[in-house]
Amino acid sequence: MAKPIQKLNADEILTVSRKLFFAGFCLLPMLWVYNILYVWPVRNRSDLSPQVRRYLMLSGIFSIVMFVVFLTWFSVFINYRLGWGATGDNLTVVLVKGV
Amino acid sequence: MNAASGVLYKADSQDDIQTLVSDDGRFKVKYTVLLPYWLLTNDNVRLLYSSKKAAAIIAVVNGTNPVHAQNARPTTVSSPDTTCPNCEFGLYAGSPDQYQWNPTGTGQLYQSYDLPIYALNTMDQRNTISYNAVLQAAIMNKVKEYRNYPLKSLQFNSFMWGAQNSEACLRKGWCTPVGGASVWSTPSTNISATDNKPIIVVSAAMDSRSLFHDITLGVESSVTGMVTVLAVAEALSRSSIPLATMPKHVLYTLFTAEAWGFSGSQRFVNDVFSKVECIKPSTSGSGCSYPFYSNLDFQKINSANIEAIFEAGQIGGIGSSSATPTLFAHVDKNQAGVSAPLVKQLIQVAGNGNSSGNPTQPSSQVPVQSANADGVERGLPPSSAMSFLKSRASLPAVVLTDYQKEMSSYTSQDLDDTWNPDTTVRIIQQAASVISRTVWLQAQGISDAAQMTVEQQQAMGSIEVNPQLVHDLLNCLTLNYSCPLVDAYLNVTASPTPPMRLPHYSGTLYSQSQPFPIFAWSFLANMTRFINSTTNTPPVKGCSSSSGTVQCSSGEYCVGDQCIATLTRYHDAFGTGIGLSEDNNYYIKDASKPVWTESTWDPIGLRLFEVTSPTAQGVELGVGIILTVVSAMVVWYSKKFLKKTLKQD
Repeated sequence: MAKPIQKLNADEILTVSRKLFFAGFCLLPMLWVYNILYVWPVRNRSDLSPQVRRYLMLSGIFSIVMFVVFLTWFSVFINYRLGWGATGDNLTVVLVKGV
Repeated sequence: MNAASGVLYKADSQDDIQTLVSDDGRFKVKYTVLLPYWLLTNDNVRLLYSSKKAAAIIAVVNGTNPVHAQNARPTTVSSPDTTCPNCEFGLYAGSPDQYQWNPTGTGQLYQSYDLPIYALNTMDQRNTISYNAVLQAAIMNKVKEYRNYPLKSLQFNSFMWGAQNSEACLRKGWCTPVGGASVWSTPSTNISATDNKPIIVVSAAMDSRSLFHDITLGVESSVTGMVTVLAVAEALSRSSIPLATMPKHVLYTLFTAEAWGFSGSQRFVNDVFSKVECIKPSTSGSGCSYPFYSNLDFQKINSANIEAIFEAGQIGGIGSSSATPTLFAHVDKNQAGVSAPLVKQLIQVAGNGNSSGNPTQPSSQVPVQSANADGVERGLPPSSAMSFLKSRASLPAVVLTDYQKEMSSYTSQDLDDTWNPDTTVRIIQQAASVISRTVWLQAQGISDAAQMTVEQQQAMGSIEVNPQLVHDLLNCLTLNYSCPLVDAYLNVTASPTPPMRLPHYSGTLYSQSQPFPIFAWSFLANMTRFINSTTNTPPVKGCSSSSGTVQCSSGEYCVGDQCIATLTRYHDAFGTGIGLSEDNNYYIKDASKPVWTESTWDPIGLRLFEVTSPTAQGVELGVGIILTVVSAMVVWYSKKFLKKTLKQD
């Protein structure tokens, strides 16, 4: 279990935030969301490095971008997969009977 | 998809349907509309759907059980098939002046409805129980004027897996090609592709279709034709001159899945007319692994040697428009001259019905006429012969039917389940008699029956169609599959529940549920069995599984407890647009050809239960919500109270 963020010192918060931000690039966009949620309660602490705010900001932007990308893909997939024939079936994990 | 459920509403007339849809505020919920089969019209289904009052429709198709037969049989029946059934796959496909053989056809078979439609039929005990329960509940609701709750509600469960089209469905493995096994048989066990002996084909279809899968009998639609061919085979088997010794071969073909784009005949013709090359031979020694064939004996049939085709179409005189039963010989309009000699001979043979001098021979009361005798060239009606002519247009072919201009109104009808024990038997007997004698003459190369020698005339007298056999075949293949005739071949009565009425709806490929090709195979095998005229040894008996001690020698089959040698084979029947890949997957090869498939479905369920009024249901829900809120509040307050008290301690 993660340590409560309030008990970490400024350097530790910076390390965590940086790690989470870069780890997000390994096709793990949820880590960006997690980064924001985790650091959010201490974002205004005066001893925090300005770097942390930058990581949070970028995490937020990237997660929104990824959300839009996924949403677009999802709606395209839902609406057009039946027309893609065998490719559509291969992209589908569980085939829905009756449609 | 959710199970459809609704309060039973009994509609006995068009007015009852109007009452329901013209919402006068009386009908507040969704209903399962119980109506007699004749009210199940396209317009009524659309009307019920658009009114949003119907959850499902249940049609009472009147059973063949006489106890229930009196009330729902309509006086006029119209065919639910198209105005020209399967013509889009026929010989004249795409031709603008194609003759419409079924002008009153409603085309309902091809309609798609967003409403579940079920049928009730009192055809057996189990179905009668459901029928009685549903009918009783509906009457009770009617008595209560659909107002005095609780009312009886009916829920259906049936989930179809398939969707989109055959291509997608086959790929996902949720559909199976419509088809089964065709049967072909010849008394010429030594037939070979190189013997240069002409072949005469006698053909019919074995299955049909209608709105409701399990109800389809298709007596007029297909059974009469099948019975005719079986009767022809039986009559010819008694020829005093063995057929196998004649200068021409006789080939019987009974096709499956004909009701769906002539799939059986088209596939047979494709295989026989094209040079099939076995890429991967079968490991078991017979047939071929890829392309798949269970046997390759059809290669003994040389397509170039096929000289004539006689086909029996609708022959029972059921729902026919003509007043007096007459048999009509149809030929292709583009080559009428080529087929004319066959028609001429059929008519001559029919007219000579009494000349055999046999007093037991009934007079030929059913005349045979050329279908174009009225000067109108309509061409061939929808038939298997079309598949042959598609491959070789100049092939002489005659299709014998009981209609000249218009198919029976029972074509593809659920009510096509009865026949007249007198007329139907008489017409079939005449058709079978005329076909068998003509084939007998043709097989010997006799073009003019008047030129026969006395011996030949006497020999032709031996070709007689037994009316009792026709009657028995009709009975066995429609209402009583456990009859002695079938039982002698297949020992069906050994089953704990002997089959009685079995559906004739086109099945699916390799579904193991098609009894008729099995019977046709056994019957034809017996009729065309190889008889060694020199040694004349009787066949070995006692080979059926019940005794199990006698083993037939290789190349012999156990048919009706006898070991016989026969050239009777099954041939896979399914749409020629569908292919089977090397790894055993179906795929669409050519979508312009028949590609009919049938979806897999979950078991069909039916549940009858009582429902309370919408008001009562609303009150129930309200009370439930109030109770939930109250109990939540009680818990919250008690928790608070307890916390306080415990702190004080």
